[in-house]
Formats: sequence, structure tokens, C-alpha cells
Amino acid sequence: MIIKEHIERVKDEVYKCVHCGFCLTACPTYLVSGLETESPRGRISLMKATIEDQIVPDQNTFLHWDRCIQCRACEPACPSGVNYGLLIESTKEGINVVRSKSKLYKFIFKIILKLAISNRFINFNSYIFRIYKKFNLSNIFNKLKISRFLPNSIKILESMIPNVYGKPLKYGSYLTSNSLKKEKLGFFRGCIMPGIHGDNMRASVNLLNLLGYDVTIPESQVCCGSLNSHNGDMATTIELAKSNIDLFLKDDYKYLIISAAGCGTRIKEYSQLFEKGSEYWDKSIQLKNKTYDIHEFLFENIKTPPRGVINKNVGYQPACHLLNTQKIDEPPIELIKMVPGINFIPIPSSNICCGAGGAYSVTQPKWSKMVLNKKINEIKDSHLDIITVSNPGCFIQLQGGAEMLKLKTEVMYVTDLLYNSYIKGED
Amino acid sequence: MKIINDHRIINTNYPHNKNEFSKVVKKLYKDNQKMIILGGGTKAKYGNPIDSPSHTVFTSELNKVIDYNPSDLTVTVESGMKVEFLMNLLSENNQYLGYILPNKKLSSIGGSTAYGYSGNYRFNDIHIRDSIIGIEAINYNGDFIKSGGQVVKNVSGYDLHKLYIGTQGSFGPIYSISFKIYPKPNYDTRVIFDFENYEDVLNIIKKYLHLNWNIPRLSIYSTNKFKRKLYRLFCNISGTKNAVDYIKKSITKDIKLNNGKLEEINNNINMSVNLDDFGYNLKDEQLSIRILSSKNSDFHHIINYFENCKLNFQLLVNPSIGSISILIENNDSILSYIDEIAEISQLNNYRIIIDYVNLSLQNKLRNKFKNNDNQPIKNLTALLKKNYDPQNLFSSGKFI
Amino acid sequence: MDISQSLNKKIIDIVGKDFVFADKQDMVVYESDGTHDKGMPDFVVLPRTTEEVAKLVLLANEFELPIIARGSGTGLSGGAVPVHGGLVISLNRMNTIIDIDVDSSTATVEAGVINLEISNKASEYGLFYAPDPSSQHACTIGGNIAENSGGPHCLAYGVTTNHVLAIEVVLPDGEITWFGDFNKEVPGVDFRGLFIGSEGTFGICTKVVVKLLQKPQDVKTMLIAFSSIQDAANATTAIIGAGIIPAAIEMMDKTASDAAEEATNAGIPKNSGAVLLIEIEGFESDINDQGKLISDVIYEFNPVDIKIAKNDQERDLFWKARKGVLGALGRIAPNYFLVDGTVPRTKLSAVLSEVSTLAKKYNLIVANVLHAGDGNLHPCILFDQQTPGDTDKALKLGGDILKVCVENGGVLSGEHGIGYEKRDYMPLLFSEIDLNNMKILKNIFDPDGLFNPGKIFPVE
Repeated sequence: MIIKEHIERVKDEVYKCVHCGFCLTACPTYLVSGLETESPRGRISLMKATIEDQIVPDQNTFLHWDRCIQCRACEPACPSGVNYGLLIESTKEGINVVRSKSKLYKFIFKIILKLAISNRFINFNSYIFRIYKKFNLSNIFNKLKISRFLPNSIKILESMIPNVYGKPLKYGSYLTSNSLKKEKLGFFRGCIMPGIHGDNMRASVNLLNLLGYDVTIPESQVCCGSLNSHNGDMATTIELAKSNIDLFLKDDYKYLIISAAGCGTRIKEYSQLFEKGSEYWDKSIQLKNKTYDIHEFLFENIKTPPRGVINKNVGYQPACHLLNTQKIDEPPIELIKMVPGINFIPIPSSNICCGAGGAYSVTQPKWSKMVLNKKINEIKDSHLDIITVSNPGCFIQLQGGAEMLKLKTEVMYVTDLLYNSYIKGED
Repeated sequence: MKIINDHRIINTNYPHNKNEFSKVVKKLYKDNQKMIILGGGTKAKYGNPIDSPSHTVFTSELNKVIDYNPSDLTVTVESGMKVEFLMNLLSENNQYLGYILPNKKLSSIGGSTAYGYSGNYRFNDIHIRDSIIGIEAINYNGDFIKSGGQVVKNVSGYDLHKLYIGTQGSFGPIYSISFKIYPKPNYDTRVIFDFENYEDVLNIIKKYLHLNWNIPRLSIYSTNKFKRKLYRLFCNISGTKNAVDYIKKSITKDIKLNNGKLEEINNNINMSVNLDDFGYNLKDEQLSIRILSSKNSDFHHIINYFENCKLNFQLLVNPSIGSISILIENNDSILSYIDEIAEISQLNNYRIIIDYVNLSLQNKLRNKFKNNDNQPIKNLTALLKKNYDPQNLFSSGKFI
Repeated sequence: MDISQSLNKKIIDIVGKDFVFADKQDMVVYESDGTHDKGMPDFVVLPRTTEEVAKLVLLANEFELPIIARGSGTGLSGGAVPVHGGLVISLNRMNTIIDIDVDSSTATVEAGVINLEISNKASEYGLFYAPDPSSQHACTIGGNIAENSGGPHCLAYGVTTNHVLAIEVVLPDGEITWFGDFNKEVPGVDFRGLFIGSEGTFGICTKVVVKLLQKPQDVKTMLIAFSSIQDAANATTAIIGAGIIPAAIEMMDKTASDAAEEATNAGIPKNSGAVLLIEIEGFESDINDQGKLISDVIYEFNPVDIKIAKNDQERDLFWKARKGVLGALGRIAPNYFLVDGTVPRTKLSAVLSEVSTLAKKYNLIVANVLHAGDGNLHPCILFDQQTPGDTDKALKLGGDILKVCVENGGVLSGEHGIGYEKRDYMPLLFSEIDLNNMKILKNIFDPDGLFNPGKIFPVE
């Protein structure tokens, strides 16, 4: 009973749940299905039933846990303060152990996770995407009627191949030309973003330069480990965490700035990986104290707002891992509102996830699409010119949805919007 | 054999207390005697005639206060208490029911409950079906049945008391009733405006209907007694002085924009209308009906019809309640008019209630207005009657 | 093929295979609601239309299977718990707001619509739906109908039954019908009124027409701390006695308010004997007058701290603290037994002190949360199911508290319903004759007793 053991480790947290149901309507998978099995309360009930030997979880039970996007919107909704993130990660770790007993699965899973954290593979991928999009291969496939022969899941995956913006962002130092020179910053690069969103990342770096910071993107940084921990591979996560902690704790970096919310959450929560009081636990707390999401950092440091007028109706879809785990709600909105001419229109259920969820859109394509459809339709009804996002996963997901459902609204990073206004204001 | 209000009465009873009441009911039921329970007897002619002859049990001696602690904002009284007595009692403590039951001098609380109509003055849309929080009734065995209670929030058991409100005694006598009551607003004022055009007055109504302002009455009165066409808007405003002044100012301004005139300026027409009792205390040759709408309606079809027919009428449109009360002077050809009114009503999904009519017409009108309840409701109603009054002795023929 | 398989197939024929659960591995999540009561369903099914519900009811009749309607399962009386197994009909997919009629100020919605969603949608027109149970962002309107739910603002506005004009129901014989009308005085039996609060024992409500109200011009929210719960209770009675009916008067004792503060950081003064959350609505001038009046009245009861919400955010935070307080008590103990008695408002103080005496006697922590303005108490008995004997002790204490309520002229439940949890306390309040008369009503609607069996009536 490996699963049971893993859940029992977090038993106290399981029993904090009084099943009041307040989390239901915060959960994106519950909202699109109405099924209790696809809700946080349901998933916790399954955990409880497992440790009480009421059920022996099978592949079908795993599915309910797998379908959790881990957006953690249920946490702020929970009056009992259940740390749901801990519960689902521990459970998924158990699932992973069970699954890895299958040799084939173990093999595939290892390769995928290895690839996912390999910079070279990611760069290679982004070139593939670039070529795919540039030559519009999708259209060619369609014309050749090749896609007819592909299974549905592959078709959905095909439709999710992201657009590529500009050349990849390179490692190295980006020095400020601002005379009021301040400290040096470390910049966490993330995985897929530098390859396909090079332009957008450069905008972020430029914004930091504008504020007078020198930005360094060290080549020795590794993946934050969230993909591994979301999928229950804790050993690799710890390995990666140690490496990043050692790198960024160096005095070269006054602060660590992160522009991907998932990485931010993972790094700020590194301490959960280590025993309280141990060496790396201490170090992880130190790192947490100097780690900032780019939005909170900009919001706290911008003294001169941009002057370029942008007359648009703009909405904002927060990243779950900014809103629910890092509790960064207002800063991105305040940044948007700094731009002159913007008419900010909140979208109805902005606190609900878009279905991106790191690798979720790949592991659970059907559910990811269901959640996305609901989101896109709400954006459509809000009559926006621009929907801004604060995280690459959300960007890719919404961009894909917008193309699929022919949405007229443009998807844009908050930082891009801000940077555009600065550039425009200089003219 | 006595005749009271056209009913042939074979015996009358005046129980003096709770136990006597139950004993009388029990005995009559055991003896298989049809019975009607009367409070003030003012509504005996309302609705369908009962199957007579009947025994009559008068509740007029059952008029005590059972429980009243003003700070609880609830009151429990015996069903024979006169409406006016209760109103005065509450008033002494600056409280009220929230609505003004018609014919307060003569009507009893029990009768008003059985009839279920709360008049055209309603604070916060409160009506008798809402404000009754408990009833103690008597079943055919003479047992007391309690439902609800003396607290304002209660979901303990079924709301059995709903069965006795508006069903005209069909399920048995009511012994006592508990009400949720309200502090009386310290200010209440009335403004009256005259309009020559129905559209104009509707503009006002439409605007104020949906505001949660304390406008307990917003009624339009019209009649063809005079040569000129005139719509008189009666508007009661209540609340604190500030609020009342504010609302009054707002309405007065809007009325001027909509061609209305303050009544004092236009008082060449003397209309004395008793709004609280509109449709009550009628003479034998009068007929009173109420037309109810299933959605928000301005009843303009009905207004049109009356203005162009030859009947002598007075009408009071109460859009906030969704009803229009019409008082018609009976004439020989009334039946043919009634056919047309029934047709208009059917077309517009209105329901017609005959409030008051003399007995000779009552039987003829009975079949004019079809009960458009659907089959499940008819079946359930019949089952209720069969179970709570197996021998069909309570208010027999009155309602079911 | 055995009966259960053939039944499963028939259910799938009605709603499709994605919306039926028949495997216990899945159905454990449908075993309970907001209480600790449990019951394993035989099937869980999620229909999309009224017609599907009607077909399911006919099918259940054919197989003599109990039928239990379920909304979001946030109920606090075990109302949606299938204590005798059966077919759980979960209405969460019937969640369309069909129409908002601005002219008539009404909304027509399917039964699975979330309570707060109605107000969210209506707010485009400046309207809202008044009854606001604490779980309003999760509970369904259908569940509200079943329990005749209340909420903090019911002090001024009244409960669910006062705001529901008409309901579409599937009766136990599978017939679909509407009860009620826009016009509340249509003569005849008020089936709407009888059905609301019948806890799923008369049929299944599938559509609802609710009344909408105009949002108030202005709102003022005050948080007042007292040094003792008696002071807070007496202050409440005095406010009502002075002829002021605020939109809400809510009370939390020390245990409850400290837990709520820990969960939300709303700024509730810690270590207060009790706090009152008072909200007044109306014209600005009225609000100021009323606010002053309330301050004068409560002055006698030694308030130690008065906070007035500075803006909407702070107001929302106060309410978040209050509405999430039950869950927040999960921080103190993993289980609670929530009592829902209502007493005449003048008896509040006396009843509360008896509750505290009883709590001491049983050596259990009781956190008091009250819709004080309505006299509706929620003593929340905290315990740990895993400590042997604690559950029984908590239930017994709950029973004793209910006895005290009834002795003081109160009732067993103000807004949660009797359900499974409180059925055995019914004889405290009702005589055998009363109960028999209620049973007659039950038999008229549901002669075969298939709808939500094991609820409301005590076990004989």
C-alpha cells in the first residue's frame, strides 16, 4: 500500500478538512464537470477513504487525482486552512512510485522528465516549434489530410504547439545604462520561455535595466523542479533544488527575480523539501527571502510610471501560482493601471485557472481544453482588446485557446504591456 | 333556521376557550355535520358559496393574546381576535404587521388568515402568507396540531401552517396564529397626484416599483363616475423623516415631468376612496373582483376594456402586488360583460378571483372562471382534502 | 445480467455514461455532506434536464430505489446523505441561469445554480438575491429550497421561502409541475410554501423563480467587541427592542472569532469575549442616524472596541471571517457538531449561559456563532472523531442544548433543517399528533416513501 503510506505522511492535513464544500466553486475541474470526484473535497475524500481502508485506490482513482491542475485555488477558499498542495503532491508521489513499477512507464517517464529539464532539448524544441509555425506545417498537414489519421489526443497536442516570439534569450549579463546604478540581480530563466518567448523575456530584462539593475542570467542554473514534484518525482526535485539554492545564494545576486509563477512558487517553497532545521532548510529560507516574482518586484520599485498612452480595454488573467500560492494579487493589476489610457476591465472569474497548469495541458489535454473553453468564452463576453497574463504557461494556453476559438482579443504579458508604454513614452 | 349572510345556518356555537373549541369541532365531525367557522363573518360571501345548511362555529369569543413580548418582534393571538384590536395592541408598542388587513373593525385575524389577502398596503412586500410563522389548528378528531412556532427562523418539520393560509377553512379550524411583526416606521406620509393619461402614471410606477424604498402603497385609482378621465395615484411613503422627505421630493419631481398634478391643485374632483377597505363592505347590488397577473403587468388590457364598456366601475391598480381590484355596480347584462372579461383574462394569463358577489349571481359566476390549475395540483389538493377532512365537512364547497 | 447491472444500463441510457457513478471507489465522495454523517449510495447520477430527472424518478420507482437529491453537499443536517443507499441525483450540471426579468425583478434559474451566481449575474442590473447562507458561494439554490435556508441578512430580508416565487418540481410519481406564481396571493393551497423546506422528501425541485431586490444605496458595517458574550447578547436584544432592524446582527464568541481572525486576518480584536458584526443599509442619512442610535444603545453594554469597515474590501473581509468561521474551527478540532436552535430574541442571553454551563459539564469546547438578530444560535461543539467516546459525548451535548432551546420557547432548527442529524430530537418539540399530521402530508406527496428516507421523522 504505497499510496496509503504516502497519504498517511500528511494525515494531519487530511483530517483538517471538515468537508464544508467551500472549495468546490474555486476548483476549475469541478466547475466544468460538476463532479464531486473532480473537486478538492472529493480528492481529499478519496485520500481519507484510502487511509481508512474504505477503498484501495486503482487506476481509476489515480485519474481523479491526475486531473487536479494543482492551481491551488482551493487553498485561499478553504476556511480550515488545509494545505492542499502538500496533500496532492504527496499523493502523486505515491502514484508515481506505483506507476514506476511498470518498467515501460518508468522508462518513458524518466526520459520525459529528463528532457523536460534539459536546456538543450528545450532549445531544440523551440527551434522545431519555430519551423513548424514559420512554414505553417499545420496547414500543410491539414491539406494533405494527414491529421485524419492521427488519434484525437495527438491532434489536441498538435493544436497546442505554441507560437514563437523572437530569438531565444541568451545566458549572460545585461547591464543597465541607467546612471542611478543599483544592485545586481539574478534572473531565473525558466525552461520553455527563453526559447519561444525571447522577445518577451528581453522586455522583462529591459524593464529591470530601466530601473537601474544589472541583470545576470547564469548558465549554471537548473530547472526549478516543479515539473518533477507535480508528478511526484521528489528525489530529482531535491537534487535540482540544492543546485539552485547553492547558485543563487551567492553574494553576486542581491535578489533573485523570477518571471514564471510556477518556478517562483517552487523556489519559494523549497523549504518543504527539507527537514526543518537542516542545512538546506535554512538555506532555502534564506533564498526565499530574496526571491521576488517580477511583478511584485516591479510594483515595489517603479518610481516613474510609463508615459506612452495605450487606449485599450485591458483585462487580466492572474497566474494561479502567483495568486493562490504566492498571494500576489494586486501588483500586476497595479502595473497595468500605471499605463496611461488603459481601461481596466476585470473578467468575471479571473481567480479560476485557465487549464495550463505546467505539464497539465499535455498530460490531461481533454480536461485542459474543457477548462480553457470556459475561460475563453468569458474573455469573449468581456469585450476586451487585450487580455494580459503574468506567466508563460497562461500565455501559451490562452494564445492557443484564442486561436482555436477565433478570439479577437490579443494575449499579452503584463510586462510587455508595461514595456511598450515605456518605449512609446520615450518617443 | 337562521340566515346569516345568505347562508342557511342550522346551529350556532360560540366556544369560549381552546378546549370548548376543540370539543365542538370534534362533536360536529363525529355527528357528520357540515360546518363553517366564522370570525367576523365579513367574508362569508366571498368566493364560492358553501354547501348549506351548515353548523356555524363563531370564534368571536376566542380573542385573547397568547404571547406578546415586544422585544421578540413576534405575537401569538387567538384566531377570533379582531384585526383592529391586534393593530392597536401592536401600535401601542410602535409595532405593526407590515400590512393593513382590510375591514379591520369587523374582520377577525383567523378569517383574514383563511382568506389570505393582505390588502393593498404592504411594507417591504410583506404579506400574510409570509408573516405567519406558526399556527395551531384543530383536526377532525378535535386534536390540536402545532406547526411553526414563535421564532422568526424555523425549519423544524414541515411548514404545515401554509396549509391553512388562503384555503378558507377547507382543512379545519385555526385556533391560534403567530406573526412576525415589525417596528413601525416613525414617519408615514401620503401624496396624491392626478393624471389624465394612463401611460404617464405608469412611467412613475415602473420607476419606483423596483427601488427598495419604503413605498408601502403605490396604487392607481380610476372610475367612470365622472365625465373626465382621471387617474389618481395614491402613494404612501414611510421610514425616517429624512428618507420620507427624500423619496417624496424625488417622486414629486418625476411626477411633474410626467404631466401629473398634485391633488390639492386639482381638487375640483372629489373622490373619497377608502383604500384600505377597497372592495369590502359592499352593497348587495355591487360586485367585487380581483384580477391577478403572473408577471409584472400594467393591466392595460383591463383598463382599456373598462373605459370602453358601459359598466359603472371603480378600479384600483396595484402593480407592486400584481393585482387590480375592480368594483362593479351590478346591472342586468353583467353576465355578458363577465364573459368578455374572462376572455381577456385568459388571453393575458390573468387569474380572476370573485371577491364579493350576492348569492344569486354567485352560482352563475361559479362556472365562468375556470380554475386553470394543472392536473398534479388538482390531484394533490384533492388528496389533501381527503386526508385532512375525510368526510368533507369543513367549509364544504367553499374552495375545493 | 443482475438487477443492478440492468439498472445501471438504464440509467446510462438516460444521462450518458460520463454522468453515472456505480463504483464504490468513486461514490465515497458522495457519502457525506457538510456533516459527519455518512451513507453509501447505490448510484450517483448527474442529469442535465428536468425530463431526465423525471425519467430517473420513474426508473427508481420501478426498482423501488430511494431517491436523494443533492446540490453542492454543503448542508449541515445530513440532508443529502443517502442513509438507506439509493439513487443520489446530483443537480450540479443543471446550472443555467435561464432568464433575468428586469421588469418584474425576477430570475428564473435551474436548481443547480450556485446561490451567489444569481446575485453576480443580477448585479449587472443593480439587483441581487437576498438570502445569503454562509456557504452561498458554493451552495445551490435547489439545496436552499430543500432546507429553506437562511443567512445573516435574513434579519432584514427574510428567509428563502420569502424570496422564492415559483418552483418547478418533479413529483414522486414522475410528474413535472410548477408550484407558485409571481403573484403570491393566488387562492388555493400554497404548495410552493409547503414544498420549500421539505428537505427533499416531497420531490425534486428542478427550476426556480426568485425575487430580486434593488441593491441598497449605502451600507455600513460595524464590528463591535464586548468583554463577555452576555453583554453582546443583551446588546443585540436591546438594539431590536429599540425598534432598529439592521440588515444583519451576527455574533461570534471568543473561540469562534479568534479562529476566524486566524483564518482571514480581518482585524477582529483578539481575546474579545464576543464580537457583533452589524450591518445597516439604506439612505446615507438614515445609516448615519441608525449608526448613532446603535452606538447609543450598545454603550450600556460596555463595548471594548468598535471598528467600522472603511471600504468594500474591508467589509468583504469582515464577512469572509464570519462566513468562513465554521471551517476555521477546523483549526481547533477536526470535527464539529453544529447546533442550529432558534429561540425568542429576548431569551438569547439566558440560553447562552446555559450552553456554557453544559459545555463545562461535558468538558467539551463549544464555539458560539449566532445570527443573533434572529435569535438563531449555532453552538458548535468541537471534538475529534478519533478520540473514543468523543462523538457520543458531542451528540449528547447537542441534544441537551436543543432541549434548553425548546424549554425556552425555541425550536430545533432555524435554517439547516432536521435531516438525519436531528430527527430523533423531533419529539422534544412536536407531539405524536403533530408528527402524525406531518406524516399525512408526507404520504400525500410520496406514498411509497422513496424520497429521502430516514430524514425528519424520528425512528420508531
